[in-house]
Amino acid sequence: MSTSVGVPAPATPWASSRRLAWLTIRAAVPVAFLGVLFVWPLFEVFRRTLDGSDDSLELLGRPSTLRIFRFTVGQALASTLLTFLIGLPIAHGLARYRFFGRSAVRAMVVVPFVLPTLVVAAAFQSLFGVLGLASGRWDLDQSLLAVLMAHVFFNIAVVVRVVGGFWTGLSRRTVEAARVLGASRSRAFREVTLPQLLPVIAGAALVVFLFSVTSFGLILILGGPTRATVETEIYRQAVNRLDFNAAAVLALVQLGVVLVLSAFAGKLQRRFAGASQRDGANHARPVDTRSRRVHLVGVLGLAAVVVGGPLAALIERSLRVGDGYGLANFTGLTDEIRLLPISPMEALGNSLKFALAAALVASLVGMLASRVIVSGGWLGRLLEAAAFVPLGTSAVTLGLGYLLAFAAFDLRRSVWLVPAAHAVIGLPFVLGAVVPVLRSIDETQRHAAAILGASPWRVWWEVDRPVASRAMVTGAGFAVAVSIGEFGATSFLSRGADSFTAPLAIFRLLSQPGDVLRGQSMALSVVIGLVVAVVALLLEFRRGDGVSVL
Amino acid sequence: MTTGGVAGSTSDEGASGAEGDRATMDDAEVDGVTVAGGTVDGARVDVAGVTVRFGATTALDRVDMEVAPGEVMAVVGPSGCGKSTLLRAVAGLERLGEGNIALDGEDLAGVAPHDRHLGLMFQSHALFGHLDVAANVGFGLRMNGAAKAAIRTRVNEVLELVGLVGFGARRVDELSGGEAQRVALARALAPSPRLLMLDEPLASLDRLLAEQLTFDLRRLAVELGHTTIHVTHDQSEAFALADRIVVMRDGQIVQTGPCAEVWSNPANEFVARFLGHQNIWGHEVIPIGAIAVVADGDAELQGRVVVAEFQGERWRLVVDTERGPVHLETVTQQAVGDRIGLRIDHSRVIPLHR
Repeated sequence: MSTSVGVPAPATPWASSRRLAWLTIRAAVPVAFLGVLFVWPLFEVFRRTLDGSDDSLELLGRPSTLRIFRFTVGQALASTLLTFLIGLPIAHGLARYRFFGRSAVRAMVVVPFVLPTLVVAAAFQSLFGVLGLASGRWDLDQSLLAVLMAHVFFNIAVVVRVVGGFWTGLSRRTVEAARVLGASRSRAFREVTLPQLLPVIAGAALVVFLFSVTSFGLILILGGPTRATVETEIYRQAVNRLDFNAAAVLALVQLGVVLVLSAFAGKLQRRFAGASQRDGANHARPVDTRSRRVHLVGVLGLAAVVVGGPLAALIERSLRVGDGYGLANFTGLTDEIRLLPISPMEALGNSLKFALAAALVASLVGMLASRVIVSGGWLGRLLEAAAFVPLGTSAVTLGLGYLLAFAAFDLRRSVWLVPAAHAVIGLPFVLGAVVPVLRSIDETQRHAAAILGASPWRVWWEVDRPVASRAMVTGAGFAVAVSIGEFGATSFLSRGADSFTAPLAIFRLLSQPGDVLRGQSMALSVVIGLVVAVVALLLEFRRGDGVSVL
Repeated sequence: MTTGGVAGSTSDEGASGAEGDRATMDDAEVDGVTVAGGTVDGARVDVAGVTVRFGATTALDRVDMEVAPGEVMAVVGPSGCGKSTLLRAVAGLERLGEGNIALDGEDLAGVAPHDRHLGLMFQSHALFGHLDVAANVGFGLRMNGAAKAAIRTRVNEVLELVGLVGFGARRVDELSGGEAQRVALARALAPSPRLLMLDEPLASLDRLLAEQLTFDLRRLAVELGHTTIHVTHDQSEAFALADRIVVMRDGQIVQTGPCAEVWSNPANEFVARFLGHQNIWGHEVIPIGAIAVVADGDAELQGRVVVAEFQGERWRLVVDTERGPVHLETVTQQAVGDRIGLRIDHSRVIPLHR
């Protein structure tokens, strides 16, 4: 430790070469992790496409393929539009007014976003059942409208959090300046507020569009067999038809579109970062007039219907036994069911085991990677880019990549593939929480600690760790939540009872026609939905400023 | 504020110095300014019994204020005293609990902010980040429906007026603090408002820039003829710019009057201290300039120097005496620990009422 007294680390060649060695060791683990579990599988998808390049071109030109592309983009556009149509008034109301229970409402609106997609699908099937829209003339089950509604429910959090959060912090002064300069209320909104919001709205719209393009479980269940998107078609080709070439071509197209859109979204946000006046203050106003009260009640009502409706319906259906109510659906979760290799409860046990393993791995890798990323350099930038890509990559593409890359191994025995994929998917959540916090630490604090006698390791322990550990728990918590609900990649990788998870159980049960097992699938949905929601809400309320994943 | 006394006394003298500056300034710039700016018929402002409440707190408590056409009025007071709220109330940005505000005798109740046609310069500038400098400055004209060519001409005039010729195409986030301040001022001036309100216009500037802009504001106020309400927490800034001054505390007006009068006749100890007086003994205020260092034989007070600050032209001292610490200024050097004799010019002592 005495070596660093008076010798700031990089001052001598010796110190800097030792630093480099440390950096390399720290970087080696995340690089190997991402290389084997992310880059290689995607490379295999790429290689498979090249191998069958003639067939690939032919497939892309088929009318049925074009129809799938059109539907994918069309439903995503419609979902995005609807999400903003409903989400913006809610975002505005929550951003504008200060009222008791505001943070609770903001938290509740985020719950749908963290819910597993299959729980959302179950909730909407329940809603249609409760409203009598599941059959007859107004059969919404397996319709485009059902898909769109579910996408709105799922994505509304993006609008409320991203746009609303930005809106709250937007300085009121510019609007007041416009008003004093002669702009009416609506004109000030159009000419001052809207231009400041547009980049954020555009960024959020791109995110919602991306999520809708890569939506998988919701479309599989709520859209029905006739409504194929690129994502569900990859699954159909690979799992049902075993045509890996076709699946790889589609996955590559999907990956390309997603990467371009993600890069565009990032660029958009950076470019417009300076175009708005944010003073960090909270500009929410009290609800002190009649018109404001009416407005707020309307907004809260809308949020309650959109978010609360499907959830309430799900709980109602899970408790419904015959013509009355009871807990039979829940107690039945421990029973063996003919359709499933193991009981739903055992599947939930697998899910929890995988989630903990995935979160642990993601945290360890994330801890090492975050230090490399924060210390900058080309290695840090490369790692940052590589580690955040899984967030945009569709889980189905990842699952397909694993199938292709690890085909040489006996998949039936490789239980570890599922948690490994989940760890890759969870890593961006860990980094998303930790990296900004580490970056926010003033570098002079580290220098001060070093000058006061702390070794590099000790600097990390005393300065970085206390700040980062909070963020690490948040990130790990989200990794757990994401893993518990993960369906896309798991649906490719799960083979047999040992790797059978709760979302797979819900999928099998929901896919069955008839009402016999409906109750149990709803009950299982309620259980894993509750687990995930509790994790998310705990994180939400213990979250410090600056630590956020959404 | 340890230098308050100095600032107070220097600006007292500075007022006469400023006259000189103003004269030379006029000579140098008068043509440019009158041609560029033109003149405005300043409005008369009547604030009567205005109360503004935020929930349980009363930000303005029955405030009365009259500002004559073309007058520069400074509103001073510590932070949180309600001075900014007063400006926002006049602008129509705060709802009045009671009282009314009139412009040229016309009650503004029910007139929306955008129909009041006032100029307000925000402390935080509040420039529109998505617009360039010219679009910021021309915003008010555009809202009033001015033609494009007229806007362009006027924007250039006003930019020239604030010394930012050629800045029109700049992005707002590329401006320095002083430039942003000038753009904010130009934006408020462009529509030639009858009433110009400035909320701490110099607060975020360094000292040199603040002095430069003070100078420009004074010149513009005289040349353009707006009625001006200038809010500041800095009494020296108020003295430098204003004809009259309003001192506020806890949402109420404590004293109003011409600057020199308020300084030399503070209504109470709060006003005296806020305006920079530091020697307040019971009911007497001894201005710093009324105390002189004298030979021991002529001294009416003896004391030991405990603080000696070199301030360029003079020394600022705190002397421990039997009457307590005494603040004064001398032109001769004194060292900490020296014993010196003091004499007070009793004709300049100000009695405090109450």
